[in-house]
Amino acid sequence: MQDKQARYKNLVEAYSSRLYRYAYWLCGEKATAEDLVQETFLRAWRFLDSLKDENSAKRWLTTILRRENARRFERKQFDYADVELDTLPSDREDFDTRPEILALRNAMRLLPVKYREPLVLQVLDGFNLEEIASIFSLPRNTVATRLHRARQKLKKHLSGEEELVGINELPRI
Amino acid sequence: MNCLEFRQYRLSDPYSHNPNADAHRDECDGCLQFERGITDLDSTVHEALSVAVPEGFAARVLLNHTLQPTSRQPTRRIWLSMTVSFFAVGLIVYQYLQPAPLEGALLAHVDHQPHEFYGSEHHAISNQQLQRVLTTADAESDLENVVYAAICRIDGEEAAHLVIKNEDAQYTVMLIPDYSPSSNFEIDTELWRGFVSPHPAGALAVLAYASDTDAISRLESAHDKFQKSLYLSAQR
Repeated sequence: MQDKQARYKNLVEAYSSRLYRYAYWLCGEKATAEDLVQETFLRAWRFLDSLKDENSAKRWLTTILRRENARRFERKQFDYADVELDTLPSDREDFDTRPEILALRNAMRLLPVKYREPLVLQVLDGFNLEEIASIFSLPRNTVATRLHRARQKLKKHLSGEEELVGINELPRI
Repeated sequence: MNCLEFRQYRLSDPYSHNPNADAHRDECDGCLQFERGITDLDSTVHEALSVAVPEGFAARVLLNHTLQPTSRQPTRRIWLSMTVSFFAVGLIVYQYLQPAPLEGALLAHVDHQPHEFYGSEHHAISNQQLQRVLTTADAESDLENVVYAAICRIDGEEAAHLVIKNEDAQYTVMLIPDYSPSSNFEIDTELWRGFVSPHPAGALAVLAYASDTDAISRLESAHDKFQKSLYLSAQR
């Protein structure tokens, strides 16, 4: 039991920040991101024995978090999608406010989720194509195409060539 | 690798090392600039995505884990239900593996008397001897080829124990007055196959050696025949 506790503590300390950032860009809301990470680790504790290889912990936890996020939409009471970030000023205080960063952040929010999510995993968490394909249960080429398009869309948006009009976008800041 | 392939490749996977891509980049200034543009974009994306994590977040997660009532109550419930399930499954398995009382007593008896049934030296016993044994169960019979008949104790109670040898098949027939099973049941062990069924005189067990293929193939019809050939004395 003590071994399990120590193992769990190591996982939390190593991955909670990464997971929080990923959760934030998944749901776009600070409180929900915290809840998602808490739920992820509670579930991880329950199934910790199934994690045989510590090297795959990051991918394992990310997969759990994605599933928790999917459950969030199944459980109507946790529907935070309608929450406007304007009502949550504390979310803004933590941000870098340089114009190029704000512009990019808004562009990321407008990026459809199917492009945004793999890009966050690749750029922020350092997952490679195979790992992202495994997390999404998608063919590698599909993930490669989505990443290709994500960067193209961002570049075009930032250069003014193409206005991003997201369908699944997060609230603007 | 040409410029189009290189750029498509870098847009989807800027960080992997590919000798072909690296060779093309080293020869093409345009693609080198393109790659730098992607690296710069990703660097800015990384900064933009790196939102501040709430202070003491990891400690909060750990605290939540230790204080989480829902994480403990389900655990207790799970342990309790697992324990109950374990015992229930254990009981079912135990009951399944344990022979029924009559079956167990029968098998214990016949397993200890294998010499009674082996060999070809047996000769049919007299009808008088057979009827004397069957009296134990208040039964009579017109069975032929009975090579062995004895009064035995099954689970402490007297029973008629017969061995019948028809051509190549050999059957052990037990008539047990003090048992009355509610329905037929099969015996299927490493050594024995058979049927136990209700009989007007009690319980009728018809057994054959599992290795006796001739007997096994006719076991059901033999059982039916013995059912009809053994009857209560009063019924005759």
